[in-house]
Amino acid sequence: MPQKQVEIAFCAGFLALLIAGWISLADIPAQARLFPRMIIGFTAFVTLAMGVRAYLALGRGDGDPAWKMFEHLGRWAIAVIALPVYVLGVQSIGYFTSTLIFIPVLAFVLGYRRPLVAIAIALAFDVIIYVVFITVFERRLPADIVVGL
Amino acid sequence: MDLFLDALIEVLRLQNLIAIILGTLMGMVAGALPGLTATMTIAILIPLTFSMTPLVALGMMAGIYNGAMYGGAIPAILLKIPGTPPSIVTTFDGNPLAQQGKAGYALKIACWSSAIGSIISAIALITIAPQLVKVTLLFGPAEYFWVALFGLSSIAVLLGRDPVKGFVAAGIGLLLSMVGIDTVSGHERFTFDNRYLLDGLELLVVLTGLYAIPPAVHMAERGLKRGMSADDLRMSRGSSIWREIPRFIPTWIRAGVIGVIVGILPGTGGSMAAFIAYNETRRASKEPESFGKGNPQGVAAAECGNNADNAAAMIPALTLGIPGSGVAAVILAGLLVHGLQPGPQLFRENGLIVYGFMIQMLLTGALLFAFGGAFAARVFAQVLRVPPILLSPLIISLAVVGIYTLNNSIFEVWLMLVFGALGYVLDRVGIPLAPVILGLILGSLAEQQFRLALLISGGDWTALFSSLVSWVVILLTAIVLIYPVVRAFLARRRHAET
Repeated sequence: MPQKQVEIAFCAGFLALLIAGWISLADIPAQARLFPRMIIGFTAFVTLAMGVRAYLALGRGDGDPAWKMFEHLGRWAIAVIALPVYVLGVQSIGYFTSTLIFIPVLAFVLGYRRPLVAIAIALAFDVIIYVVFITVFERRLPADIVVGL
Repeated sequence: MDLFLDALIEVLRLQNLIAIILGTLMGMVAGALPGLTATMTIAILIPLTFSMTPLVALGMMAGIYNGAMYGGAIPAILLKIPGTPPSIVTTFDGNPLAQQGKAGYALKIACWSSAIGSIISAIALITIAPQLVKVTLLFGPAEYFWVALFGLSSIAVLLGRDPVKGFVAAGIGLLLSMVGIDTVSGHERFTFDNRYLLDGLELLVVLTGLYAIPPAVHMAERGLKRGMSADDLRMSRGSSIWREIPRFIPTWIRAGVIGVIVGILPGTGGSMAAFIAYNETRRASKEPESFGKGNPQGVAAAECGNNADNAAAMIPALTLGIPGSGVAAVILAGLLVHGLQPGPQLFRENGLIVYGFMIQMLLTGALLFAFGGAFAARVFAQVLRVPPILLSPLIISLAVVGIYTLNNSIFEVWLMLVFGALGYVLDRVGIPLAPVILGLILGSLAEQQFRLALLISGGDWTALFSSLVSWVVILLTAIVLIYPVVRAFLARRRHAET
C-alpha cells in the first residue's frame, strides 16, 4: 500500500473517531463539552487538511516509492501476536515465568538461533528485575507460579 | 543564594551522587544503542524512581539525559549510525575522522564538547529560570491559557517537518487529556463506561506505550541477529586534545550559545541546535570545504550544540510547564509523577528540589569528562555487540513491569499496548509523538485556565484578550504559526532563483 494511501486511510479512520467523539459529548452539559468540542473541531480540520493533501499527492504520484508500511510483515505479525500473549501470560502465570519464556521464545521465533544465550539473558534479566523491583523497591508483581510470589 | 547552597549540600549526599552516576552510565549505554533514545530510556525508568525521593529520581533522569546525548556520538563516530537523532550531525565529520584512524581523537573531542555544552546549558538554566519564573507571576488564567496554546503550537510547528501533522498530533494529545471525569461538572467524557478511565489517562502509560513499544516492534521487524563485531568497534587510543583546547574555544562558545537559545524555544530540540551550530561553525571557518571530510571543529560544534540544548530545554519546562523538547517533556512528566507542578509554586514550595535538579544537570555535564574518554567509549561501544533482536523482548518486558508496578494494574499494561499500537501507526504516517505528550500534559491546564478565565469574567470572551501579556503571547503564537508559511515561501523563491 503506497504511503499516501495509508495516510488517507488513517485520516478517514481518525475522522470517524472524531465524529463519534463529538456525538458522545451530546448528553453532557454545555460547559463540560465546550472545550473538547473546540479541540475536536480543530483536530478534524487539520486531519481533513492532511487527508486532502495526501489525496492530491496521490494523484500527482508523489510519495516515497521505497516506503513500506511494515519492514517485514512476518516478523511484525510475530511481534504483534507475541505482545498480548505475553501480557496474558503475565496475568495468568506471573511476570517472572512469562518473561523467562517470552524472551528466548520470541528471539528464537524471530530468527535468533542461540537459545542458550537467550535463556541466560532472560534469567539474568529476571534476577535483575527481582532484585530491583521486589527486593530494593518492594513493588508487587502478579502472583508467579515459579517464584511463588 | 542560601537555597542554592542548601540544594548543593543535598545533591552531594551519597544516594544522590550514586543516582547521578548510575543515570549518566545508563544514559551513555542507551545513547550508544541505535534505536534507544533518552526519551524512551527515561520513560521506561520513571516507574523505577517512584520509591526514590524526588531529588534522587531527578538526579537519575538528569544523568540519563546528558549521558544519552553524548552516548549517541559513539556509534555516530565509529559506525556512522547516529545513536540519538541529534548525533546525525556528528556523523558528518566524526565518521570521516574514524575512517582516517582517528576514532579515539574524535571521541575525545565529542566528549569534551558534550561536557562543555552541558555545562554552558546548566549555567543558563541556573541563571535564567529563576528570573523567568518571576515574569510568570504576572500571569492569570487567560495568560496561562495562551501560554499553553503557544507551547503546543511551537512543538507542533517546529518539532517535525510537517506542521499539519504536528497539529494532528497536538489534537490527539489534547483529546487524550479530556478522558475522565470533568472536574467542574462531574460528567464523564470519553470513558466508554470504563471505571478505570474515570480518573483520566495515566501520563506514564501513554508515554511508555508511545515511546517504548514502537521501537521494540521495529527492532523485531528488522530481525538483526548479530551485533557489531569486535573488529567493527576497534579504535585507536587517539592523541590528546589538551594543546588544542584554545582552538576549540570559539566553536564551543558559538555552539553553546546557539544550543541554549534553541533549547529555550519550545519545540526545537537538540537536532536543530546541532545543525545550526555546525552550519555557523562552517560559515565562520577559514576552510569551510574541509567540513564533512573529517574537520574536528565539525564534531565539536555538533556535540557542543546538541548538549547545550539539554538543560536549556528545561527552562520553559520548569517555569511555564512547556518543555523545550521531547525529552524535556518526559522529564516534566517525571516531575508531575513526583507531585511537582511546574511554575512559580515549584520554585517557592520546592526550591530545594528545583535548584537541586539544576545543579544535577551541571554535575552530570561535568561527569562526562570523567566517563567519556576513549577508554570509556571503548567500553560503552561494547553494548553495540548485543544482538538487536534480543533487545526487543527486553524492552517490552521492562515496559510491562514498569507500567504494572505503577498502580498494580494489568489494565494499564493493556492500555500501554493500545498506545503502543497508536504510536506505531503515528510513526508510520509520519506524525510526531512529542506534541501528543505535550497535548496530554497541557490539555487539562489549558481547559482549566480557559474555563476559569470565562468564569471570572462571567462568560465574557473578551477577557481572554484583555491584558498586554496575553497579546504578547498571542503575537508570539502567530509568529510561530506564520513561520512555516514564510519558510515555504522563501524555499520556493530560492528554488525559483536556482
